[in-house]
Amino acid sequence: MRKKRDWFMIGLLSPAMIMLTFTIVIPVIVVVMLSMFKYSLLNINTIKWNNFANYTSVLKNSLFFDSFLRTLIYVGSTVLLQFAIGLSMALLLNSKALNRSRSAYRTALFLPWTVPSMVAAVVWMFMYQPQFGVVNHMFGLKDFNLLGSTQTAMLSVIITAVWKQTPLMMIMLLSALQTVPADLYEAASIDGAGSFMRFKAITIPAIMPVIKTVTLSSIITNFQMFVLFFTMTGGGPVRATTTLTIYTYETAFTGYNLGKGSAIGVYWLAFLLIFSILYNKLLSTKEIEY
Amino acid sequence: MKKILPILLVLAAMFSFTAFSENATTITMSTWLAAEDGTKAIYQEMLDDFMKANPDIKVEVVALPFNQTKDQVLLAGGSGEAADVIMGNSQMMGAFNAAGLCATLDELLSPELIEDIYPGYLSGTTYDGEIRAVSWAPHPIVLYYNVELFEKAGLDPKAPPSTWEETIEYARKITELGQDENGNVIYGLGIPTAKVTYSATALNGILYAFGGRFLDENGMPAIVNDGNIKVFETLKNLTDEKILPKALEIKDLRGLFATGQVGMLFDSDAGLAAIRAASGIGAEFDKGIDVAICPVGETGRSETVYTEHQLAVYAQSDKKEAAVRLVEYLVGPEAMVKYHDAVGTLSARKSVSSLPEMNLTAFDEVFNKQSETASPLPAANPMFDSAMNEMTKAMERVIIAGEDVKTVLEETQEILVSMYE
Repeated sequence: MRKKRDWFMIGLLSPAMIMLTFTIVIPVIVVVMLSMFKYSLLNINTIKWNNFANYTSVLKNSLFFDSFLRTLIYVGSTVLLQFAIGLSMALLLNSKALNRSRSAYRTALFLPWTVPSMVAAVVWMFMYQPQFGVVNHMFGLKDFNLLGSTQTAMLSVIITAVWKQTPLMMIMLLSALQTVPADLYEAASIDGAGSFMRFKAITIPAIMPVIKTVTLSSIITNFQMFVLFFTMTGGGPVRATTTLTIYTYETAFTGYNLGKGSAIGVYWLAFLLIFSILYNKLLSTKEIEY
Repeated sequence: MKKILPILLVLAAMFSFTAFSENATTITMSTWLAAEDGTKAIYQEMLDDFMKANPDIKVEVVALPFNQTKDQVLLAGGSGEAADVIMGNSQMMGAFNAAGLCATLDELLSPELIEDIYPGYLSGTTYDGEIRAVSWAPHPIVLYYNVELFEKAGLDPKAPPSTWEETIEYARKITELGQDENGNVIYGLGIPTAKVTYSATALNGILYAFGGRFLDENGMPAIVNDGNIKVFETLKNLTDEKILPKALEIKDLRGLFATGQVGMLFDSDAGLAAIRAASGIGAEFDKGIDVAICPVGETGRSETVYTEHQLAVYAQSDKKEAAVRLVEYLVGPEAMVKYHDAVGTLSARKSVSSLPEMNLTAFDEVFNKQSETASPLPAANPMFDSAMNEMTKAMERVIIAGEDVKTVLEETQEILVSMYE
């Protein structure tokens, strides 16, 4: 009987496993393999083992570390802002004041998420346009080029990313908030807890599993952000927005060096793996069960 | 018998058609023209005409999006699967040649055709002394200017600037107009200086005009020279004086030119469609602008560069003869007149570009005149695109970050040399 059940389970899982093998496992293995060879797009038939030269070459290049640092700044700022704004909006939508119009607000606020990243990039480029963009007009920036200045280019991309991605964060947190039992809040009120204490001691720990998942997913998504940077700034000006994705693209495709490009990808993969494990462990300690 | 005869004729025609189709040589051509709305109809028309005129050849199209063409062709070519006729642009061809994908055409093309191509265009498709492609749709960079802004600034629109000194002087006068009626700043001159590799690619013409260069005679980067320093300093000064808008790429500048916020713009014939579209009034906008050949600089001639589409024959193709026939047809007068009529494309051939049908407008005449002195991009090395990326960054460092010109050029030179080695 148990054997039968096992086979049934394997049968159900196998389509997904086969798909994941072809779309994730095999490409990852190929990338790891490529990273150990001299492999040029100009000569794809000659692949030579190069004694980890791709890895050492990446580490010797300050551009890699600069790009990595810029990626961390972008990811950290974007995810923190998204989380803060998303949680505030979710709390507002979850409050009794918006009971009747909640679904209308939720739909309206969710709209940016439905806009494709490429479209969002183009729309915001128009808004940032120095001569006739609405942002310059609103803030009286005259013809200051927000995307063309090393001081403001990264911030401008971060604002676009936050605008585009916050709705998903908001919806996920809102659904989590709606599952927190009301009697927990009632009990805390009876014990004399104020609203901040209820938020800190009940709300946050209760929705921690969702916070953990959505923030980690947002970190990974933003680590891989290519479209916004490629479309809005191309990594400039003066490399002010050259993140790891742009640097990898330049190395692998503009520079035809698929081996070195893969090595950057492997460093990146290793970092995200280690980070995800630590992040999960750290936030799991903050969860409560009810 | 009278009834049977037509039926027999039809059957005979069908049979002969089937026989022709079965015997026809099938060749393939990879191109982005078939993937773009603006060109796919005229491209198909040209192919249909070719197949009608050459019933023994059937052409199958491999439509590739422009931004995937280079990678896709390199991958296909490396695995022996590239199309018989490969379309690319100047920058892509450097990579295709380095990957050994392009056949030598010296013996395959007719001597009359080779002789008929402008020397500047022919040199752009010649690698290591061998012709590896045919220039198809060259886009020389010319000088566009706004007639109304000229008049407002007290300049004669019939006498565009003929030297670089005049260009800067005219640009300064236009900038002095200040703002338009909507409060928008008016700039005298538009030169792309940021973001994309095209900015540095187009800069090559200005480097030549100031006596500078990108490569030395051995094909290695040699950007630290007086001419280049002068160009970078000029761009910095023009930006600081607000004659040149700061750190904009060509598509932004086209938008500004189309809305009367830039007085003069260096752009190719291919940019005209985008300018018209941005103006909101289409071809009507042409009435308010004019075109001139690029101003003369240190070399005493109208220096400019061109980007272009090129046609190559795949080195591993076993149907080279048929492929060459298609290439010769596409650059020939019949196809080019149609192509020009549809999208304003120029010809790299002297005999074709001088045809009345190719010179219907005053703009056409200027574009064709500019072809006589247009130089190819120094794009033979596959790293050219990467190098132009670094050159764009160098412009940004000078113009945006205000770094010292010589230091920036010296540091960029080091990067470029390591790239080319």
